[in-house]
This record gives sequence, C-alpha cells and structure tokens, in this order.
Amino acid sequence: MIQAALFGIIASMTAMKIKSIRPEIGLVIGVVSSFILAAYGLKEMKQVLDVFETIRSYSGIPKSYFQILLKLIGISFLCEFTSNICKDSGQAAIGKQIEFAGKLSILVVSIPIFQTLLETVQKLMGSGT
Amino acid sequence: MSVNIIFRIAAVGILVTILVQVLKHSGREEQAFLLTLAGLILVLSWVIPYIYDLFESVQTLFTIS
Repeated sequence: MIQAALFGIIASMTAMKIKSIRPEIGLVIGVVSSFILAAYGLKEMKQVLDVFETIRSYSGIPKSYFQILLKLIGISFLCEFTSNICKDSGQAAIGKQIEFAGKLSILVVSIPIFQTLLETVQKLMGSGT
Repeated sequence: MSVNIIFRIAAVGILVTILVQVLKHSGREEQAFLLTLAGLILVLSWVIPYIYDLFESVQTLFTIS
C-alpha cells in the first residue's frame, strides 16, 4: 500500500511539473499512473474474489447470480475510472457520457434478475386469475 | 509499480520542449510542431501496454465477456 502511495505522489509531482512545460505529455503521465495504480489495486482484489467464490460454493447460491454481481462491480469500476480520467483531462462532457453509458449497461446486465424476481412473485401469488 | 515509466515520459517531455525551443529560434516552426507530435506519439506507444494490461485484468477478473 505504501508503494502505491509513494508511486502516486511521485507521479503527481512529475505530472504537475511536466504540465507546465508540455500540457499534453503531462496529461499522459496522469493517465498512465492512474492505470498502473488501478492494475495494482485489481491484483489485490483477486484474493478477495477467490474467498467470495469459496463462500458462495458453500452457501449454494447459483453461480449465475454471483457472475452478474461480479459484472456489475466491474462495470461500475470501469465507468467510474474512465469518467474520472476524462474529467482530469478537462472533458467533463465525455466523462458524463461514459457514466451514462455505464448506468445503462448496469441496467442491461441486471435484467435477468428482475425477470427471476417477477417469476417468483408470480409463482407465489399462484397467478391468481 | 515501476516508476521508471513515469520518468521516461517526463524525460521525453523535457527533451521535446528543449528541441522545440531550438527549432523555433532557428526559424523552423513546422519541424517544431512535427517534433511535438512525434514526442506525443512515442509516449502514447509506451502507455498502450499498460492500458491493455488493465482492461485485460478487468475482463478476466470480473468475467465480463
């Protein structure tokens, strides 16, 4: 963790310095350091997901729901990450569009869950015609 | 977590800036602009592997298709 913090401080210092001389290359430094930090964070997350997997296998929840959950986490992470990068580079409009697309794709991914919910409710109500 | 990619990009930035000043003073504006583009493209080519690694790990980790 200390490594990530140090890396972040060094990267932001150099990015600030280079931004005054060469704005576009300063921006690239900011982008590449956030990518490296994100990759570092994801490696940490792998162990957490493996533990979740073992817990899920005991509890008997079907794998498809867990997969949808993982997809949601991935989509929200990516969309947050890219929209912040766009905001950093001054393109707030593009960032907002990415957030909007992310929300839509989250909705699309979670449609099956709504369907199963409605089916179970239908069964419970005994489709009272 | 290697920091040298950051310092390499910074070095390219400073180098490009100095060369652009030299070209400007010797009256070659177009070469200065082309040099800026070349520096930017070189830096971007260094950055792309890191971007690819991140998206690859996100895809495998969250089983996004």
